Amino acid sequence: MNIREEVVTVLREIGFRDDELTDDTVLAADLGIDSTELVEIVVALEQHFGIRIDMDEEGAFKTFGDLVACADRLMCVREG
Amino acid sequence: MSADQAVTALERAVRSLGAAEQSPGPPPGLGVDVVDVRRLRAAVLRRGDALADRLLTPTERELCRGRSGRYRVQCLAGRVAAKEAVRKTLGAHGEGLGWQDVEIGRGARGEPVPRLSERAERALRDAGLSRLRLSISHEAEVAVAVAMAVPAAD
Repeated sequence: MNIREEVVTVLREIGFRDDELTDDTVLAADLGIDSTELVEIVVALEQHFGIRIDMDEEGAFKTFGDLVACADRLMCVREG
Repeated sequence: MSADQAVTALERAVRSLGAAEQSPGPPPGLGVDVVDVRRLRAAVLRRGDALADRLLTPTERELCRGRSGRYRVQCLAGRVAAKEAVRKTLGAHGEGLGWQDVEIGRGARGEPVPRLSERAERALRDAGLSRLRLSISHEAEVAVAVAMAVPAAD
């Protein structure tokens, strides 16, 4: 599974374009994502990957790359 | 003023508060937040209970349970706005606080009562603030909350 492509798919379903999503894309400044939208993205990632993202981790997501790194790490843990 | 205009104007006000937070100095002691109810309703429909479970504490979920779907989403929107408003009163001291760190209860007259987790209480103290007050207002498509705290010495 290509985690990055899967995260792009999740955000595309929420309404973002592929060309907006690079690793250094800043969620707030570049995509206009506020805290409420970020929660939906986090829940969407949880549901898509079947993972649980810690509440405290949510506040540390600043870039698209942070989302990919988190999903990648949690999927590695899940798959052992 | 339409709901869209109200959202735009209030978000502009919130951004200006955010800019002030980045400058050195005391925390604002004042926070405002606006939630677009339609957008939140759409997100709830897409994600189900998992979204509210992340945003609300168990006590808040109980407060927002039952009655109509319209009531539930208004209740959720008001609490989301209130939590954000409270966090903004803390400025940089509020960074790292999550949705579960601020609970919006209900007083005897129906007024919103903010309750803070241990670390949120610590953030309030570290910010030199006390006596947190809160007001929430709803329209069909918009929820707005204003929070205020005063310097602890006052």
